[in-house]
Amino acid sequence: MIRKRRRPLTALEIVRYIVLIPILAFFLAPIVWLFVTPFSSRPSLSISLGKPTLSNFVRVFQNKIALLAFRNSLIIAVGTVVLVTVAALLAAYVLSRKKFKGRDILLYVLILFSSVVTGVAAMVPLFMMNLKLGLIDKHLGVILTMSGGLLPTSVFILKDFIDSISITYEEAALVDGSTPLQVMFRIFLPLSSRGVIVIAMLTFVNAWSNFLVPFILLRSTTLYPISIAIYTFFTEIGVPDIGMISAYSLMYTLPVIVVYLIIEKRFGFSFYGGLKA
Amino acid sequence: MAWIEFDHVTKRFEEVVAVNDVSFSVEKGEFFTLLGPSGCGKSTTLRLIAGLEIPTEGRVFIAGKDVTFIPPGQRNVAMVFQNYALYPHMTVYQNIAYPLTVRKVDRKEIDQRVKYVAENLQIHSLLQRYPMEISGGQQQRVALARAIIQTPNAFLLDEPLSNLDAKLRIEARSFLKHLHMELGTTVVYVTHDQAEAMALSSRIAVMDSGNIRQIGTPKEIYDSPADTFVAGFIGNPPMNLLEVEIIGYRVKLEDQLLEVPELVEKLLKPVDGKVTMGIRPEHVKIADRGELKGTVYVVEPLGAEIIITVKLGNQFLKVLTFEEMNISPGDVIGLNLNREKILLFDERGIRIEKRAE
Ligand SMILES: Nc1ncnc2c1ncn2[C@@H]1O[C@H](COP(=O)(O)OP(=O)(O)O)[C@@H](O)[C@H]1O
Ligand SMILES: [Mg+2]
Repeated sequence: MIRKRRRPLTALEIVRYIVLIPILAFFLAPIVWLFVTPFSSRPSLSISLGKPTLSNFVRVFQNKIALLAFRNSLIIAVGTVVLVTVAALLAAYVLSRKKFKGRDILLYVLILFSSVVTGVAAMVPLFMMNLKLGLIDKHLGVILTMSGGLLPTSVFILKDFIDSISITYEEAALVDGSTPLQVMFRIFLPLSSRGVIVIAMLTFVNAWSNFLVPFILLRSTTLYPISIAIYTFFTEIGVPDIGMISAYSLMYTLPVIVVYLIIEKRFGFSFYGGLKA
Repeated sequence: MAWIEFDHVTKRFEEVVAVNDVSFSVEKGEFFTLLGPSGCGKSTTLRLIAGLEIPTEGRVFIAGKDVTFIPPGQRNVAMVFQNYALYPHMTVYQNIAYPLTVRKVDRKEIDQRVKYVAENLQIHSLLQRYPMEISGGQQQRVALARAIIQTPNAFLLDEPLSNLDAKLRIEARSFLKHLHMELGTTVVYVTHDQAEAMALSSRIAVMDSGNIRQIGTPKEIYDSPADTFVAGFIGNPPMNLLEVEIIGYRVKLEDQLLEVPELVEKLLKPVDGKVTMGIRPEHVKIADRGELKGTVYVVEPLGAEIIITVKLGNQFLKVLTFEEMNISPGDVIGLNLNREKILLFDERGIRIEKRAE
């Protein structure tokens, strides 16, 4: 019987590990901290568990702003998801199914704009626009502004997805006696559900974690989403309550992680930061 | 009025003219076939009947009604697509039931009719499966079932057999013909396969680049093709088309002369000079002392019949025979043409009419 002898590490490999391990630790540390500190009885900026406790979470649930922020984040994220998904689906459908003059140019402009609209550079004009429309300090303003930023990419991704669904199914359904609405709900939506779900989840993750747009457009603490509320915890009390912040951060991160896990599990593919608007 | 009628219909896609000023009518109960090479506008014509395309010019009538601008769902036609277009997210049962479901037919009646049709097409054991889980032949039957469950004005079939393998295709062909006889519903059928068209149709319209070249029964199209395109498209192997010269009562083929006084006399207009002579391979006989001499080029035995390609000067002539023959490439053989069956086509390729007997 031939046994593979464990080969001694070459010098190059040793060097490689020596370089890689600190880098790995550097990137893993914050994640470990995020999962350990909320349960720690003596939370600090270093990773130490001490005696496991849930008291940090209890304090979060006793904080009114923290709870309101959860509700606000949910309103903003769900509102953005509904708006972006519905609008992107309708737009992408037309862009995919109908040929018209200037379609390709329009698509090109879409990509171009996707990186401009919610970019930092556009913040002043966006603020002015919301001011003129009376949308400052309203969730609607945040939802509309974020939707504007997320729509172009969503339309583009969905259009590509719809291109891959043969139009024959819709045609067959039409000849079979369906009304256009029946074609939409019985044929097209079930067939495009994967694409729609991906767009909805991407939008959710983006809207949930966006800091800049609500920070600029909202004034009242009672309207703040979590991304901003967390930030206020640093200054409000004078001394940052690290236990509470870490517990809150974990609660804030979990929906995003769950969404990614669902996508990963249901669709078996991962996507990259490049998709982020 | 005819059951389905095209009145000078033209369909343009930007600069492509897919259907060019086409007129035809289909009688009720007919099996009408649109036959032609790929890209000639057959599918577009069928889609114009279904309402999936709207004509650029002209009118479409179904069952005495002008349906030119009526949406597909209200034309009451059933279509089978080339790739069957079975809804992938529905079971076979739901697929077959779909046309009734969207028309809000009573659930119990749907159930009865689905079971009846499925039984008829022998797919009743597949009802709970998804389209992805059944074979190509079964998918084709499901697509047919989805059409049959309706009581449409017409069945529109776009190359429904082309995705089946050769053996299954012949079987499905007989099955389709039987089905048509049983149901008696009007069929408009699209194919590029001339054998399919011949086997199935009551009438055939031969199309070429957006135009209809000829409409007729399979026999008319086979025996008296309107032009060289139709002659060269129908038959397997198709008609031999040879460049010849008419000199008085004789035909000059390469450097051989053939006396054809009966043929020349019967022509409706006097012909002189260069024409195309058409003769079907089965109307050429190999004979020791034939009128024409040629060199055997290829011999293709097909079991029952043999196709022999003969070289005459610079042109080739195919002979179809059912007799066993001891011939090999390079042999010089004699050929006799059946005079009755010789057709002549003018310089534009149009058949020169002969006087009736
Ligand atoms: N939607 C369309 N847009 C542009 N051109 C088309 C479209 N549909 C068909 N054509 C063109 O029209 C011609 C006829 O097509 P089609 O009817 O599909 O031919 P067939 O079914 O005989 O193969 C082809 O040249 C094809 O490229
Ligand atoms: Mg076609």
